[in-house]
Amino acid sequence: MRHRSLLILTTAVAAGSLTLTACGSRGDNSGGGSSGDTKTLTIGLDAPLTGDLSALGQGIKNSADLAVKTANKKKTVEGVTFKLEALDDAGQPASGQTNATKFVADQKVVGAVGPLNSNVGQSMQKVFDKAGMVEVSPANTAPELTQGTAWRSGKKERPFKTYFRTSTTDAIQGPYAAQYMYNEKKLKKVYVIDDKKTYGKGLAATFRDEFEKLGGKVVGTDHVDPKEKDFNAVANKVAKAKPDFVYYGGEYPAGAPLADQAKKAGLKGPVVGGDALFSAEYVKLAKKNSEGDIASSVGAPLESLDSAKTFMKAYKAAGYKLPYEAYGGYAYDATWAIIQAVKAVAEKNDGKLPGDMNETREQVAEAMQDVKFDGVSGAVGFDEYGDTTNKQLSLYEVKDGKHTPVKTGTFKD
Amino acid sequence: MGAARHRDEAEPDVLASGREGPGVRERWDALPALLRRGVLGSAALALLAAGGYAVAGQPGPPATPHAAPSASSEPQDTGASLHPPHPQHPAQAARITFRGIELGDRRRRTFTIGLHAAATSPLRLTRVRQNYEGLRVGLASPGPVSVRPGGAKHVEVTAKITSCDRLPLRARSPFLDVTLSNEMGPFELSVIPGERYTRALTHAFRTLCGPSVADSPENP
Repeated sequence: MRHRSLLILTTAVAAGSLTLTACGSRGDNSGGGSSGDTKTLTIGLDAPLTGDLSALGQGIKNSADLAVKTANKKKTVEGVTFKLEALDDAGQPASGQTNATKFVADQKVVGAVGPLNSNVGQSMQKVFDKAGMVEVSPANTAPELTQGTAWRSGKKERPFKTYFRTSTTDAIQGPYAAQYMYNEKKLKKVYVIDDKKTYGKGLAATFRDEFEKLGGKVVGTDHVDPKEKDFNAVANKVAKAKPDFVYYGGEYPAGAPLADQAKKAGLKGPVVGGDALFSAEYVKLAKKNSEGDIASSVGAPLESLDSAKTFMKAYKAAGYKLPYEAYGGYAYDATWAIIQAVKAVAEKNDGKLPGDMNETREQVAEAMQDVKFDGVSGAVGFDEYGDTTNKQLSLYEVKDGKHTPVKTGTFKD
Repeated sequence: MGAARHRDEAEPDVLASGREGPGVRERWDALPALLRRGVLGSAALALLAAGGYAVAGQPGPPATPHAAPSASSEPQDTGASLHPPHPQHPAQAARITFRGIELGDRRRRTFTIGLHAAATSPLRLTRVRQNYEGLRVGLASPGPVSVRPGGAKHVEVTAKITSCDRLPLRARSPFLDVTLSNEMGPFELSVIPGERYTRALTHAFRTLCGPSVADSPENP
């Protein structure tokens, strides 16, 4: 208790000191802490900026941009101006890896935000880790990225010390949806489909495992090629099996036409899936046949968070053409986490960042572990695996053409 | 929304505090040096007094891993989350953790679930349920449980197995639905306590539905 009280005192005084320093430094016209130097640091951003998933990617990019602009405006790190450099991975692991290589080769890049897809994240982790550069994903949910491939058996092992994420894993998304469908919706027969990708396969597996353990029956399983748009063959098989609902492990560009076609073929129940179905694009693509469909997503509904309201207002005021979408708030927090880690390194080194970028990167990656702040998505911090300590998730149902929150949970893993 | 920029809209005071007009710093710089020194001195004293209050008199913060942020926060200042000026959404204000399960009357197949409830703004815990067909769950106390910042409460939940056949014995992520209420209204939050709860619940199910109690008169 005493320790905590002293910490409060230290924090209060430190916060005060920062305010006073900021007020006093104006007159001497120095922008760079004690040395008077101004440094420009680049934060890399990797996301699908083109292609099927670009709606989510653009929301991530804009939100990261807002964080950078806010930090520069507020001079969050004295003497440091941040710049965002966004590269497009088009949802492809190979492109993500190329982008990661570009970022580490650029001596101005201090850390990176992204990517969206878990399989793209997998392809980038090693590249960043070799360079000692921090990577914070706002959207990767595959548990193995932080907890290793044996996570399901309880043997959690962090593969890369430089990898962090602000979104929760999908280890709970599948089971939470399974419990909801079986116990609350009382729907006991499911047809499970996935897109064979890291994210989709993993999500469908965790859902199925829990659903069967609850006593539910899997009346059929299938895989689809997410590059296709014609799913009539699978849709007919689904209709014939007469499930109460379909669980789809995959993303909205394939999930939405699949839902549409399955319902046209005769599926009576909803299509349920994970956070990659939680997009306004899903409703646009599946139109009326999206009604009643359910998606789980990371975090609490934004309307329940005061901090998110501020973010939404700022995003609107910044005039971005496209919405922040499902991961905007998490991208803002991921970017802000890097900014806070840079700030911590500068404070540790008497207001100056190390001259050598490799040294700066290493210290930033180390500082990231202790970063804590109240972000858009709630309290932001990281556990020993690099996972967010803010472990919340929600279920949304499409009602009158809009994803509407139906249930929110908080979990401990 | 289109391409038009909404620069005429009032910018949020936290995320984007810099404005086109003179800001606080510009106004500060315009003040005479003597006045600035006076204000600085008063501010320092106020800060020390606030720090002293934090050490001596402030009620303990709730049990939350984010109780004392080490880095300054952006959307909210450090400490804002501890004592927010307005009631927080119940889902954000509550911190509910699992304590343990105690087996009760084996013949009646009852047990109690212990929870620890803390809050960052005042709220009431009005209902607990677990939606299994073979299980009935509810608050042990007759009325709602009030939780205040700094005053964490132990919450006892009673559970009775009504049908052993309708219990999932191997579910990985069982959860409790807890209804929380404050000025913002009631909100049902799923509390997924994790592995320890899963193991304890499975143990309770297996023990209370095991062969030794199978022939009891109250066997459903």
